[in-house]
Amino acid sequence: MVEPHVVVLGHAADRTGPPMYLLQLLRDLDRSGLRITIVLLRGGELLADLQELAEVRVVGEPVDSAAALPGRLAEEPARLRARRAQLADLRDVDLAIVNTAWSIHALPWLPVPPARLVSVVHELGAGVADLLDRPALDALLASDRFVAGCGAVAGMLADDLGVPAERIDLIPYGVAQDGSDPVPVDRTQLDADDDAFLVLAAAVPDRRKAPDLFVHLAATARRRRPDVPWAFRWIGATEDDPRLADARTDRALLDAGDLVRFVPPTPALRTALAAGDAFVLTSRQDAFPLAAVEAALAGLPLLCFASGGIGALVEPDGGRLVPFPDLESMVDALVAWHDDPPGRTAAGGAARERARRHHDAADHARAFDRAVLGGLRGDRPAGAPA
Amino acid sequence: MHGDEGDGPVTRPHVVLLGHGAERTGPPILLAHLVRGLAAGGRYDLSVLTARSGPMLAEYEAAPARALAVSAAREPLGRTAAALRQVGAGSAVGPLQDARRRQVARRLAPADLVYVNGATPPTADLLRALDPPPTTPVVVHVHELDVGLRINLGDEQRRDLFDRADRIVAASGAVARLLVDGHGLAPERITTCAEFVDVAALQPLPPDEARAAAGIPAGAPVIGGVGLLDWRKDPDHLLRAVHALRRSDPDLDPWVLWVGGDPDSDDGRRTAAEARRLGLEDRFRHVGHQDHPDRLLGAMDVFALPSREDALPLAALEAAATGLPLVCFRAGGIADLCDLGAGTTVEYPDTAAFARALADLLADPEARARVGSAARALVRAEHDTGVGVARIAAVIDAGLEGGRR
Repeated sequence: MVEPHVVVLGHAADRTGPPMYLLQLLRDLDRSGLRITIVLLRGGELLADLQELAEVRVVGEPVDSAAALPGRLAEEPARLRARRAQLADLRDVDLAIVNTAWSIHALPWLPVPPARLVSVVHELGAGVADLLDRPALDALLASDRFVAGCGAVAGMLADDLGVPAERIDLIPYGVAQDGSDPVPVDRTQLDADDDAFLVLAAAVPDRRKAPDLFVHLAATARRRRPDVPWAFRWIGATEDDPRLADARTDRALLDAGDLVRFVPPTPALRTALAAGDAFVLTSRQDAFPLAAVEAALAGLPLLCFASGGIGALVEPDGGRLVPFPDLESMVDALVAWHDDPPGRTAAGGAARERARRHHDAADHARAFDRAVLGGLRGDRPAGAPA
Repeated sequence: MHGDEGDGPVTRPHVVLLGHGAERTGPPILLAHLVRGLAAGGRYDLSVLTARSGPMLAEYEAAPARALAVSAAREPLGRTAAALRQVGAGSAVGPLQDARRRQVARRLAPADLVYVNGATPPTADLLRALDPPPTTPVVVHVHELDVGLRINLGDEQRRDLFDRADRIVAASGAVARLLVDGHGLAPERITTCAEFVDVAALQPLPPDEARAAAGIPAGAPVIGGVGLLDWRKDPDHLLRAVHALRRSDPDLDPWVLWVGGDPDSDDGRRTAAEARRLGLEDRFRHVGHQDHPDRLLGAMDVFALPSREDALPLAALEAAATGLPLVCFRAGGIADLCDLGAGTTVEYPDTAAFARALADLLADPEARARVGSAARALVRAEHDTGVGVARIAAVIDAGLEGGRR
């Protein structure tokens, strides 16, 4: 019997949200009875982990015709032929899963359209309609079904992009968990003193995630309460990351070199977060960053702008949501948590309980299996032996 | 001494002025004011050499001065440089570009004084290419603050520039303080010659005509800014402040007008996205680059300068000259002007305080008129071309008379 063939189209294997989501999903899914091939536009540090779970082919991103040098553009037809040759055998695809909207760019390279297309959308407007050109957006919208990990994305698909609600599966995101409390790392690993009030963020340092506002938040907190030994640490970027050039300069202008530091990404994010006192997300827009779930599981109260899908985890008692871009209100929350440790602990506890109850990766995988893969295996119940 | 006039040779000193570019932005515009003012006095032979070409070259020539540019592109030999880098021969780019700069610089007669307008990588490169004899005095006019001096300029370029300078002109008190406190330069080497604008040339449109030109209803309250859209000028911060203002004072309901930059650029799209995110798309008007942005100053009730840092931007001086009150962060020379009565300064990056300052002025027409009047008087007294050119001419004359340090 021929196994159903599932191809996952992904943009990268770096340690960022969607690739980490895919890795966890594949770990938790019942993959028996399925042939799974992953096609990535580029590699990354999670490549080896993904290769343990499925065959992976890295095909390279298309060059930007507006920005590429002439020589690079001239090479593009040959690279396109090489990409097609690399994927020429993928003619029997029963299901293609697009993991992130941008990955739709890999779909035309399949030699034959897949029998069925499911798109897992992790982005809000900034990552979909604002990022994709019309042909790519049309290709994405032609998906048979959509998976949204939070209500904000489901709402965006339905309200902004006109996707019929019956084609959208809302399956709450999850992260791996075993019910135990993480043991905090030593604060020296975060370049912070034991007596500091340690405010943590965890994200790639691009503009959407707003490290610039993180620096401003730190400066605002120091101005409002200079007596507090603030320490703001952004996990997920080295100090020399070129994407931080503006934030670094701002930090220098504000004489905040000791106040704000950038810490490299870590595979043990939860134990790093557990060393903090509060988690803050300054993103201009963010669908549902898994780092916030990790922070909740680490017992931190959550502080975010009300500009994405994380509100369901934060509200009503797991932290504070404030209107974008109200840094003063963010500082109000941080000051309140600093001055009221029991209140802070209670908020962190509430966030942890909600994360444990609603955001377990194993639950997500089971629901994903039922909604997306179940039909491939006939009537075999999800999770049953193949 | 070089130059000819009338029947025989005269002894007018040849002053070569170096600029990073000839686009219609602050330092090149100020250089045009300066060249026109110096030329009008008839005491100097003037040449301008810029790294990049642009529309201001014609204005330099009209001064009159001889005007040359090394390249029409962003860098000399742009295509060749790109090709060399692509084939892995990037190390050859620098020497080739230096040769090109020297080739153009040789077309100028020897200088009696070199005036470097701006402490930037392109002007540092031009000075190295010109390589004036050790006896030729060099004046460096610093328009930059920390971002320009510490981030944009490499350590070696900065050292070369300051070591070679016999005299340093600081564009504002903020620049002078930074040079002394931040870079260890001796105060006696520095002369503060505040930036200046041609007050008589400013022609703001009548308010409602200007609003109509910007797509804003007649009579609507308008907070305005002028400048590029880059990170340093930070128009996004103004949008965030106006968003806060609309929450704290919804009755004021101001419009935001930004003049300058390209709405279709990445920065333009980013700013538009920030406006959408903040729910300001119906109250935000972005008018791209204007040859005469002063015309749209007529639409504004308050001029906002949200820059992270700015030595003494001409756009703010022009706004003040037309009687607009200013709001800025304490992040450059305009703060000094505001402290003298031209507006309100708040600490960077206190968005809420910036919003409050805007709201206070918008809500109080008498305060706007009073502060705007003070702003106009200050600029006319201290920042008009006559005053500004005379200050710099005195530095040039001292250099010509005194030679090297």
